[in-house]
Amino acid sequence: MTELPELPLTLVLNGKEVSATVDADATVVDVLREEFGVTGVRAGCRNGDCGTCTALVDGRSVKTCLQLPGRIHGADVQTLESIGTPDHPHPVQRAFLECYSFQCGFCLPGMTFAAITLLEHTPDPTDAQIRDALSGNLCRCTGYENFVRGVRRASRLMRETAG
Amino acid sequence: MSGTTQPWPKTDGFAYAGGTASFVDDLRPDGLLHMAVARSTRAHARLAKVNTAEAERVAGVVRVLDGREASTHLKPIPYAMGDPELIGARRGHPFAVAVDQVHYPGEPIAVVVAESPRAARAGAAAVSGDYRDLPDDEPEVLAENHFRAGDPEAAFASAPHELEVTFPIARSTGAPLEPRGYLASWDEDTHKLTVHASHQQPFALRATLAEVLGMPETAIRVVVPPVGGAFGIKMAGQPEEPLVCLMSLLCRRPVKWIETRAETMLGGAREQVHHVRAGFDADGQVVVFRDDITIPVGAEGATPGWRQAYVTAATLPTAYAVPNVEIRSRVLATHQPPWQSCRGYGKETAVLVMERTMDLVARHVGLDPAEVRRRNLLTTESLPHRMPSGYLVDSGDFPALLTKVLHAADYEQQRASIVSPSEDGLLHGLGIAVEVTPEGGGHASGPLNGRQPTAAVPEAATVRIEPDGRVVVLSSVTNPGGGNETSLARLAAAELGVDRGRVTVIQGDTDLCPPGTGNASSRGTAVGGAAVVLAARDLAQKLRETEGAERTEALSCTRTYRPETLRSPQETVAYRHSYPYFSSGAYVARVSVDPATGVVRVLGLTAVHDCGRVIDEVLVEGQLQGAIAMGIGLAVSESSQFGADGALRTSSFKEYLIPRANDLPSFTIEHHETPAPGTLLGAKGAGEAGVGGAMAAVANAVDDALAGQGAAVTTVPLTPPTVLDLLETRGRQP
Repeated sequence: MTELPELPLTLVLNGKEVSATVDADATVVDVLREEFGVTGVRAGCRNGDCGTCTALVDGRSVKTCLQLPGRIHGADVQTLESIGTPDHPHPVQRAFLECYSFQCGFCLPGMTFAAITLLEHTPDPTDAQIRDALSGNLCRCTGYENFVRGVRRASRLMRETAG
Repeated sequence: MSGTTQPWPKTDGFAYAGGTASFVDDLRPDGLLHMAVARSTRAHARLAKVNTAEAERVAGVVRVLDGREASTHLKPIPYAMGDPELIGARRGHPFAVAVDQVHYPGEPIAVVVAESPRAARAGAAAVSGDYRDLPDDEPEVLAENHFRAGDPEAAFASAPHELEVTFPIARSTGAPLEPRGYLASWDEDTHKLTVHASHQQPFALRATLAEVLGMPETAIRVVVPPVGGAFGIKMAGQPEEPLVCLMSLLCRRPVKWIETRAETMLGGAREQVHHVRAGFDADGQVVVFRDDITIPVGAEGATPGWRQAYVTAATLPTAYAVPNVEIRSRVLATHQPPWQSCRGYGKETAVLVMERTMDLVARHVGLDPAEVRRRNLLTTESLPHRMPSGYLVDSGDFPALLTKVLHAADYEQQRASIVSPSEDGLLHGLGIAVEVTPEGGGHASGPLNGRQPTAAVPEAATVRIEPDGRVVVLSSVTNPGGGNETSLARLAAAELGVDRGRVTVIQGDTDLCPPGTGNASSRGTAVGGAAVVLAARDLAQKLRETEGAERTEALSCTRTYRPETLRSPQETVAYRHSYPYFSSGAYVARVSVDPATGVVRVLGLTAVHDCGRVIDEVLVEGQLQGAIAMGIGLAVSESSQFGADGALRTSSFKEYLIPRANDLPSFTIEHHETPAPGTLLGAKGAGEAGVGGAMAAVANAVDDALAGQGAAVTTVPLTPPTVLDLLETRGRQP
């Protein structure tokens, strides 16, 4: 076997600068999890289908199982852990909790960032727009019904705060 | 929501919402090694040799172990959930790794342990087998069941009308988002094996490991971290469970195995072919129902998966009062991966077959499907009702469910106003289904005939109050993500008169919790919750007795609870146990079918659900929503497929299509409560009900949409090619 090429990597992860030397052909989800101990991205399919590995890379929602580490070199990466606290949850987190949107919670990286991204562009979405926005992510527990309610509620919370 | 200060229903919700909950793959103890499994590429072959030398040379690989070596360390995996003979099956000797023969593609032939997951996977990929393919053999009969009531032959001889139809149902799977995973840590100093497992049955896993590894149960601790969905596949008896432990013992380091998505997709169930013959009169009264069922359950396995075949046969003829019945099932071993338990546990396919049959009867006699159901459903006067298998339907009000769901869905109005095809060329249809779901853990039933009586296993709970007033509930039931811990906390808080925020629930730790089954058969709240209530009542009594005294130590009480299995008052024969309670539901689905593409869209789904007393409405509805979504997936898109070489073709979510948010409509859900007479709380189960009901209602709605334009729907899933075939069978081109 040939030696795998290695890559020195530096990025801002959840507000802190971190660095490591990683296999250049590892996927970002593995780098975030194995090198930096992130629990807010998960490998549900390693195929871009399920969205459990979703993180914000330079403000854009990205499925990290489809990215090589070079993609996040010098980038600002935010995972689910960074967007709220128990006392000050992000409005989407609060709405998902209040609406019992999720059950096992494994899908939440994708669902949460999909909802945040939708509401940034479409503050008052229709149910159909919500369903389309969530459709890049899979959830097997809920039938999505309470996620739709949760996004609606988050939309209200965010508009109230903004207003 | 009385007595709560929590603004949201899940007590520990923010750990999930904030991404800090540690699932099994998030656990990384010092010295951790990673395991990967090398699997057979053949369906049926002699395994002359397993070549491991190349794998051993992969950088980072620590240890490679094949079946021959494993067989010197491990015993066969014991059967989960009782002796196979109890349900008419013969006993095999499932072993964790193939030794000299492979039985299905995907069977483990070796395991590789390495310093990183990548190295382990690379090592496993470097293992090869020397195979000599074996000729096709006749599928082996694993089990046969025969249930009979009345005089079917005489009934067929005199029935004015008859129909005969074959229903082939596809293999499908649970597909939780989190694959299976185990972390085994052998401690050489204390001689204790600690296993963290994404699992539904910690105590069964401990017992299985003790037997396979030849260790005392007291030397094994199983801990279940947060579980990312299970739906049946995370029950005990999987080959990787003892293997990851063995590797930890051999390497004297912690070893973790996380299943790949492709491996998760190997598991499955539900494939069966039903040959139904039904006799009925001009009023749509079904007088006789016969079903010959062939059920290929894959290769022999030790998980409870194959037992679903029994449950399908035993659940017929579901909610209907058919006086003459004959059910025969043949359970066959094949060269596909062994069945795993899947949500619904065989009941959902029985519901599909019965509901399609009722619609076909309705069409034959020219009555509305709702009317035919009304004329055939079991009435409340006939409950409790002994089914031909010996299952006892304990409670319910099926005619009321039907009336309520038709009203909730505005069925008459929808029926009258459907324009099909609509202006856009789509065909529209409405479908009804009535579902019964035996729940609570049971399944070998029938007269005793000299055999030992058996009973549904109990659950247990310890409720403890600390000197500072905090309450801890230790439960034998586990939580795969649905939130039963919230119901358990609510029940304990109510009995003790404390705020729910003061109650902590601990589950899934065999060293801390009293023993029980974990998470299976929709019994978390109905059975596990009852144990909590009993223990909390004892504790409340103790507190009253010591009132006024200063408490410096914790007080605790432990109770077990076993649901009662009823007997019908007329019966003189003694029965082995049945499922102790039956949930039920009625469903109306509305679909459109595009005749040009064959694409089915579910436009509406209304459900009325009877799970007995509702403990926590939001959690019960959540369970039902998930089950309905799965039922819709099974009706229109989910199918596990194997190629001519036996290899799985649907190994990712790109081929195995589970519903996405924009594939589904909003659901309308109502409740109808008939308390279960055999449970302390009057609660029945929630979780399995909905899979069969939604699947059947959608299948019936597609049939309705195609009525007059296509052949009858006899199969699921109704994928575009299948729907186009149905249309073409009638010679109609779009």
